[in-house]
Amino acid sequence: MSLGLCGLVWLVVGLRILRLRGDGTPSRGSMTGALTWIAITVSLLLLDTRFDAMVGLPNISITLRRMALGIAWLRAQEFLVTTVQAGDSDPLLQRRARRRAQWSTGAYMVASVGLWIFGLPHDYEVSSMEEVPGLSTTVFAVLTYLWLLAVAVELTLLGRQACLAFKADPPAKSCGALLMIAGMVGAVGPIGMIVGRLTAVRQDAYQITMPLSGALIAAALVSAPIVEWFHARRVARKAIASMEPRWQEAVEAHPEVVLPLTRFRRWWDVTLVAERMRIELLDAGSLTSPRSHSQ
Amino acid sequence: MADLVPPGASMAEVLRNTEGLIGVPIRISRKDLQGPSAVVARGDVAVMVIDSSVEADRLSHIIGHELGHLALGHDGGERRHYDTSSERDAELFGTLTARRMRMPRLSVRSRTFRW
Repeated sequence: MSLGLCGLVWLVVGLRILRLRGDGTPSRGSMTGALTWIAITVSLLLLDTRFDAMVGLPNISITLRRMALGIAWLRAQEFLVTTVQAGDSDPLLQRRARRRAQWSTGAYMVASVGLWIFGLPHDYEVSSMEEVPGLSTTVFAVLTYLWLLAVAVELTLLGRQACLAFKADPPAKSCGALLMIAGMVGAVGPIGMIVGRLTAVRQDAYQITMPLSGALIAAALVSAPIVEWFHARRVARKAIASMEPRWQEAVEAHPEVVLPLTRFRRWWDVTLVAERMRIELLDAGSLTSPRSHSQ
Repeated sequence: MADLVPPGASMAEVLRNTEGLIGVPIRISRKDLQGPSAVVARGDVAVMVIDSSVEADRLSHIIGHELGHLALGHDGGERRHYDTSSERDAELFGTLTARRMRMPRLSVRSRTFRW
């Protein structure tokens, strides 16, 4: 499952990079950059000890994936602050939000490196943090978990804000909703890890919730065009149903107004069919009208 | 097409973009044509004539049709029948133009979420 989620994230990264070549606005660049770092984080989570063996440094993937996630959060700020946090365009508040993210992420990265240097063994692999007791390890570990939790909560709140701000734009709203769910799912991991660290009960939920949260973020960033496509088809089908009887009558009287479309096009591009029906009704009407004579 | 007719574009915007594409100015006038709804011919200036009976709600796809001739590199055309491939292509272009012009104009924020 995790492998599939990781594949999905990389697939969306590829699509987003392709799209970036057509329209490289700063928020699109920020969104794509952040997603790339999320994909790296999820990949490191999957590779885990295999990556450590490859580079010859036990437990290094734990630190690297945390660093990658920190970079993803920093890289995402432009997109989150200027786009998702819609409606709040005060530059002072945006600057404060960015600065808050920079400071907290900086502290998190220092704690992550501190955890690796002072809290983790350098001669053997640990499969879980519960295998490494000690106060300093607990302090560093809990600090990083708290940051993860704060990020997940902030993502949930930003997603909710986007949902409310894009009420009239269902495709953009779907992106906000998925980001909100990603934040909620993402919060399960650090809560479990904090509880696990403090109670010495092994908590492995993060191994599923982290990739799932990453995949939900990836899905959020492709949801708008997909939802928009389905939404446009639904609206077009309704329009076709309401025009159909009048259109049949009109084209029977004036078959010359009909533009022949291939069967595939008629099936695939329902919005074009609806537009043609609208135009053909108008053209047929103009031929019937006594003051007009042209198609 | 996306660059020529952005969603929610005005007719002035579409004309300006097409002029940029074909490299000559476009002049539009209205006359009683007695047959086709519009005609276009391309020279140093692209001249488009719209039949005086054409109503306002038909203008976007009819002008779009003639712009289709210009954008697709045809020397000219008249919107009367769709019995040649150039007329069918121009009509399809006009339909897509009208469809895109009727789409809502999105804010920069909304556009970022899309492709």
